[in-house]
Amino acid sequence: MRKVCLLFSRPKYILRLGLPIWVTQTDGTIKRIAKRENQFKGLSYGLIVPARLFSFPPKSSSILGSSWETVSYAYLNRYPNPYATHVLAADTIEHKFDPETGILSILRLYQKTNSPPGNSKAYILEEITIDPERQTLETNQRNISHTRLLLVLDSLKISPTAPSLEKNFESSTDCVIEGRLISTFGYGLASRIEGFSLKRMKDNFVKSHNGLSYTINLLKEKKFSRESTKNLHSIP
Amino acid sequence: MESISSECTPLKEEYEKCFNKWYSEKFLKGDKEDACKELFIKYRKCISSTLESTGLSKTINNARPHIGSGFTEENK
Repeated sequence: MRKVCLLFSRPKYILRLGLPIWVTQTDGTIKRIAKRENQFKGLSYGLIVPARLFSFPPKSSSILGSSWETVSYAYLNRYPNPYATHVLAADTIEHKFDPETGILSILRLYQKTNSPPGNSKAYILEEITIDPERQTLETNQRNISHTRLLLVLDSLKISPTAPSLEKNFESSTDCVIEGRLISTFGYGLASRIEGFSLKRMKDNFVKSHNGLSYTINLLKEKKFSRESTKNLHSIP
Repeated sequence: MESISSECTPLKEEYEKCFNKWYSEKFLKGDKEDACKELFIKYRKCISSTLESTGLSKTINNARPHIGSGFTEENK
């Protein structure tokens, strides 16, 4: 699926080969351009760099002052939240529980508004694996639309904070997100697009952390109000 | 949160209500029984037609090996 090109080359050269490429326009939007050279006029484009797997995956982590049970429950119920207004719909398309190991695997499909703005909606697939015994929730996420431009892979892990770091909270949980960008169209990715996508990825990490915190607080409030009316609910 | 096919949202909510209760009261406590299977099948059936007609079903199956998936045909 992934083609790697070891060729450093200018777009002109790519065009001579008759391959379509993507460029960032002066207003920051991304456009797929045709194979003729004159259509380059008025566009700003960077050097085409080799397609590669990023060797420096952006990483982001947060420590949440709640139990792993609460955080994992919140993660599964994190949409909708005000930090994810771009998520329009979410579905669980597979649900698999292995009674032997006690491990739960879920496959989810998210429909999002498209960014960079276009006419169609974007789709994300997420696989979630939860091991209650080891207290881990792990996910792998990727886009399944617009993959001709870029593959964005995210992995996330939620696990209890190591006891030595757990000074400030009664119980606390780590949430670590790692991302990877993979260009899929053979002859590389304009460096501008890389920069743009990396920045967006980092912004999205912050949104994910905020969204999760928001959901945890919401659950705590709900639990509190339910407990106060002596109607205990199942929120962990 | 809405389902991709809005007519399935009520079924999705029913499944999720069952799932959340099961998750916190049974699953997290090590209970090895799966409780919401029937509700899930009903809900999954509902979204199937949308997944098929939009071609998403095929896209998902193609993408699956690339997310390190533990889901295989036999697990369906």
